[in-house]
Amino acid sequence: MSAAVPTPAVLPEPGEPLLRVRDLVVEFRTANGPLRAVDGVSLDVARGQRVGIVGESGSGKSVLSRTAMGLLGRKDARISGEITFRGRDLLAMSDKQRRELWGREIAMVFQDPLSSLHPITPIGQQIVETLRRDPALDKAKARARALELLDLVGIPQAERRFRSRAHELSGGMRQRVMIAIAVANSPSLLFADEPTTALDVTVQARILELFDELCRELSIGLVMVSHDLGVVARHTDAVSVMYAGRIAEQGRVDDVLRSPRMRYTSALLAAIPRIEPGRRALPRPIGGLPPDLVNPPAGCRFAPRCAHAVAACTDQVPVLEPSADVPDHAFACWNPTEHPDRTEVAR
Amino acid sequence: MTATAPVPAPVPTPEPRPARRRSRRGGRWTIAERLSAGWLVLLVGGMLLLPALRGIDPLDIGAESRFAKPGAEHWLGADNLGRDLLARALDGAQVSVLIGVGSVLIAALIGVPLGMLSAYYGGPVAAVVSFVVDVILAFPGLVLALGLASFLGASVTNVMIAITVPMFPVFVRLARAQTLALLETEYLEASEVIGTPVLSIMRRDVLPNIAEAILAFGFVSIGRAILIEGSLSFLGIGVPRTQPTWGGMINEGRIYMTTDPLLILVPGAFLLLTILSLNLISDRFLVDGDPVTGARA
Amino acid sequence: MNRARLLRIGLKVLRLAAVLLVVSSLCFFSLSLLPGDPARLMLGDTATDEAVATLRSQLGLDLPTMERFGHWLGGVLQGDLGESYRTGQSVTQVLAERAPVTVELIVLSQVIALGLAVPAAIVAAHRRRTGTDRALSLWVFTALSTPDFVVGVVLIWILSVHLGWFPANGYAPWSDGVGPHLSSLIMPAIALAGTSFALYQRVLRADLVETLRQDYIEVARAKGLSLTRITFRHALRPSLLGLSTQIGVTVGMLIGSTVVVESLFGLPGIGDELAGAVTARDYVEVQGLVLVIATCFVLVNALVDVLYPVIDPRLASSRRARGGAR
Repeated sequence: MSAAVPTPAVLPEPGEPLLRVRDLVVEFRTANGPLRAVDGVSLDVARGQRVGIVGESGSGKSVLSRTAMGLLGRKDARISGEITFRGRDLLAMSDKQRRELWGREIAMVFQDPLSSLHPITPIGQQIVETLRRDPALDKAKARARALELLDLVGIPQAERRFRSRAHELSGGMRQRVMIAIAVANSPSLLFADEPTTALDVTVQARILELFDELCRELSIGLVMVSHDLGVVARHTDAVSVMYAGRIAEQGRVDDVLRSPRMRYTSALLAAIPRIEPGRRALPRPIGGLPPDLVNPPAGCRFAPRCAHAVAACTDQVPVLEPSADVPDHAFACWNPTEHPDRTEVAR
Repeated sequence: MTATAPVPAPVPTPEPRPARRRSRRGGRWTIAERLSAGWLVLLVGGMLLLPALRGIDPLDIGAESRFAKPGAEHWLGADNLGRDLLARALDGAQVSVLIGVGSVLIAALIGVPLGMLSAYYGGPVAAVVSFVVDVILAFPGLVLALGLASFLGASVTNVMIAITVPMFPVFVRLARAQTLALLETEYLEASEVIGTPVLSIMRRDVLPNIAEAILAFGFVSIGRAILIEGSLSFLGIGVPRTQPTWGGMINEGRIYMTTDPLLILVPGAFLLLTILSLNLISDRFLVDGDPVTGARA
Repeated sequence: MNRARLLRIGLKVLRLAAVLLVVSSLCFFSLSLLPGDPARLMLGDTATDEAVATLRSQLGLDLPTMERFGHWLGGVLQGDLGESYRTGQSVTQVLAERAPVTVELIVLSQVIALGLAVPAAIVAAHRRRTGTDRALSLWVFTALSTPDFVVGVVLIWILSVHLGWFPANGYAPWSDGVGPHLSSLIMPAIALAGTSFALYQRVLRADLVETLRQDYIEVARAKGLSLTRITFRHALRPSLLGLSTQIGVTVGMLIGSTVVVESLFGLPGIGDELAGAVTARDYVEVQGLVLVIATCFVLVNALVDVLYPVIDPRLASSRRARGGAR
């Protein structure tokens, strides 16, 4: 069912990538039958690179990031394919080996900072706890470092905030604390699952800038999961668009979002309300609903909702292939959008 | 208790999870539940039919059958006075079932309407009801039952009263909490706007919706009532001593436990199996929280 | 501390006082519930009229009811709960002698109950819906359904009669040595612990299951913390509210159960005394003991109420009682 393993379009720097995912399939057992939340996904993340994963809710992006981190394991779902972190096979690791990586080499920032922070333990303690994963750090040093981290993520009066509890902080503050926890041990790979969705728009921008800064300064590889194309456009280097568990389109952010080829990406872009001088296009929402992943449609999974579907779309699975002119821009579409002028912005 | 494999949440995204556990009333009966129902049917059937069929008087003393082993004549053996253990246990069952079902029925008949009305009217009505409930619940159940039983004197009716008094306030609380939760639904507001009389709202709209929780708690309460009755009888308080009871049989059999453990094992098993069955069956109707502990009912 | 909170606490204290006042009046007026003359009932049909009359004046029954009530309440407030007519001892004295045994028995049983229930709840919550969970649940249901005196009788049968490990009956005070003292309490404590164990396991398991689903537990996992640390440092504390409420409720139940267990094992505690007083129709003593027991029960639950914000600081700042972890 899955196509030949495509090489991810975005080529990282030479040498082993930080994270390498190949033909990953994640299948849950449900009462109605197996559900493929992730179906044949491949992805590379290099050090210092920011990779965005975009899709509607239920497209499998959260499952993908949790599986790639190892939080979802073989105990929770049927998983096949390959996930390597710095050349080590993550799927073959024992729970203990994976735990060694978490919080030290790989970390994650979650969507809702209020429910992600422990409700009773003071936030300083929650950072210290992560720092103490490093046995060399004694209590006093860990405390000092935690204060530095609070400062680093832009929390004023760190000393005073150290004893605060989650419910005493604002949403933006909470997410800053979560980020401090995530980067406490200078991980090389950071997952961020909708890190700004639960926040005010004004706070969003500042949190995203914080991510940019940290990635640059600590050369962290970042996987940012989001349903917000705007966020991904401004704050990532490469992007994978997911639809119904599969990668629809993959490439440099500029290439994918400026000249989308796969019809789903185009439709997503057209659904964003935008105000631009001289142009007043109304947003066009995508009709229909994402498919049922227990009984997915044959052929292209977007076909039932696609305004440009052709005969092939409904009976043959489109293969994720590099485009002819831009080799690291890949898409899976039988009737792709044409872009004679690559500077044109999709509507 | 069949082992079902853990079903993972299909997509582990943070979705609001339903706080209420759905009742399995319509679902399949587990083995434990079938056994429980079976025991209760057997107990009630045996209690009603066997004495007539076998024609053995639970009070009949027989020197030749003292400590008789289980056999054709005494199915479960006989006690130190040669009285048939099965006949005595079934006679005790009549007392336990009567007191258990009776006191819970009365407690529910008093408590449920009070709870529903106090939830509906709120204000001073609710304040008075909740104060009364607080006062009665200030006495530990068994202590209050013990005190009442001693003040009222020995009789089955008095034991029933002694058990009902500490029990009905719990029904008030349960019915009140359930009704309050229900009153928040728009459906009821609509029915109120139309001007339906209170009593008929209670009967038609509220009662059917909270019946399940009350039923679940009712089963547990029957078990609890039987347990209290057993404790009182064990202490020799409440039910007249000449009447065979499970608790009384255990108390009398203690002296002979080294030589004839059946004297305590037979009534002990009846007591345990009956209460266990009632608890297991109530688990079927579990709606919100836990009827056994009543913690969040 | 703001004014609204102060007012709330004030109202609670007032309500508590009102409940206690009504409780004590009920204890007092319960004598009027008796069918007939209390003095006659206490002494039995064989007693002479003179003896009955003496007892009546001893009990003050010939005084007007309200005057008696005033006297009684005044006495109660000064710690005078009347005298047992059987022994002539004052009820206060009886309590002073016997309360330590009962309190120790209850504490010991709670140590056993919690010591078993907390691990059993943790294991069941982590392995929910597996065979382990079901097996534990069956054990819990059985413990819940077995009356204390049945457990006690079976314990005596096995541990005393067959194995001879512990004395079947009787109490050894501390002065007899720690070993004999504890051996005389261990079986009653186990018998008493059964129901509490079951209730605690169920409540804590349910709350833990809910807590383990929370996002912050996944975060703790993503931090690379061990399962032990996640369980004890992250999951347990937010799950303790239900358990603490249950402990408060259970203590009352336990006082009732000590009546049975102490009689069975011959321990000189309050429960045994109450059973004796009830059997001997020593109404004054029953009155006094029940009042003290009810007061203790009310105060324990008030204490649990006060402790909520300490257990879960969220409750101190927000009024969403039981929110968050649920």
